[in-house]
Amino acid sequence: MPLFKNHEHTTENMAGETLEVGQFVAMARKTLINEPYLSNAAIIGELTKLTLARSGHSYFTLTDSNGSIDCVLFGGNTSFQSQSIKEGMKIVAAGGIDVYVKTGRMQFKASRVQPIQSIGELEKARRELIQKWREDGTMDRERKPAPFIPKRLHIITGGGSAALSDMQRLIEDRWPSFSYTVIPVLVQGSSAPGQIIRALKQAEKHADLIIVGRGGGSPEDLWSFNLEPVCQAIIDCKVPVVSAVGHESDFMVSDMIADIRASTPSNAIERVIPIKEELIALIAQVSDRLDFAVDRLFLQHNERLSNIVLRLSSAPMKGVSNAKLKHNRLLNRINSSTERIISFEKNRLNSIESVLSSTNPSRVLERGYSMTVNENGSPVTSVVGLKSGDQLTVVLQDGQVDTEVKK
Amino acid sequence: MNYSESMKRIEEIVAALEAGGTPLDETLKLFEEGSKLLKACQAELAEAEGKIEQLRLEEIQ
Repeated sequence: MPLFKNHEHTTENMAGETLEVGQFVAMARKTLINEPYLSNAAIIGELTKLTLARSGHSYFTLTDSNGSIDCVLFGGNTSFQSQSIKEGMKIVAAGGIDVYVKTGRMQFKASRVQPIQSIGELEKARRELIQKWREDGTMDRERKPAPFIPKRLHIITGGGSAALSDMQRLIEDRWPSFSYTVIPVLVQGSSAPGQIIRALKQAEKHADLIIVGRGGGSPEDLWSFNLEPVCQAIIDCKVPVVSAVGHESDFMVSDMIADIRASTPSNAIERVIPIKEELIALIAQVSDRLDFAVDRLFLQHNERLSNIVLRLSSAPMKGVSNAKLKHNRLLNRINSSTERIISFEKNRLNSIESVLSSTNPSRVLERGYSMTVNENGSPVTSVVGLKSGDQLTVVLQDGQVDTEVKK
Repeated sequence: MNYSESMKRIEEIVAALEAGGTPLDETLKLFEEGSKLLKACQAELAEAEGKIEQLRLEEIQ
């Protein structure tokens, strides 16, 4: 009541001290932010006037039928984007009251925001998302196969969660000392989608296979894996992604669009980490088969070789003996025919000889005839041409006599 | 060639050799190839072992 007296520049009658405006607002601010109910609150309202500033800070107003307050979420842009929060949506903002001293404006300084949706609304959004991706072919897109042995497996899941320790135990069982990387993230709550997306983007740079998932929980707890931004990050990932969320009965949109769907986190490990002992046994077995097959082939080749050697060594002998036989046969034939010819000739000679011997002039001489030859040794068969004084030789059986023609 | 491709090729080689009738020089070539691939597979198994790493999201902005 006495405040109006201020203009008289007297303070004696004042109810309190006069203050600089700035001091006053600062005091009000201090009082407000120290009030536990105001400094640590969660308020629900319809989102309007949303501005995602370049700085990364988000400015917005929350309104309901009875009131309205300006809000800020520093560095909140990714949170709005990852959760697809749009104007007109009902959201819950956690944070506390604050006063901007320069303007005296009261505002709500949010630490996180989350859309308020009933499961019915969530389910509707989920169905719409599935429908959209069915229609645009995203569901039918080609899936990337997992490497047979992942060398740089990245696991994105709740740090220290039961799901993580289950997976780690199973990996150690299947392949002791297997190397992999864990990126712990929040898997539920408003920051979960943003963290999962960031982890995917990070893992993509190094991994050859990514498992993203969490253990079982309420539908709300698992809901990050039904959200479009999270699923889109899985789709966009250049590295094959395994979705491993909840129990076998939980079926998330991430399961539908991931490269590989695992029913549980443990199932994911079973699907992508081979059992080392089995591989070693397989290699040993194949190695044995290789050795055995080669040995057998060598044996076969050896047999064939010795067979050929045998045939090679015996074949010419056969040829030679054949030739010999033929040769002998020919020789026999030549021999016998020669003999025949010889005996034939012998006979002929014999008969000629006997004819010849019967005409031998010496035989005639034996019977008392004589032969006269002239000086040249030619037989003289007529008196014609002979004259007295010619020298003639008379040949007798046992000698010859030189004579002279008288008349 | 990655692990599964290598194992597939070895299976082919072994099957071909087991079927028999491969010429000798071919046999030698296949055996050599098979042995090489087996060694590579064993090396690949060894390579998968090492350490477990934990990345912190805060550090990897």
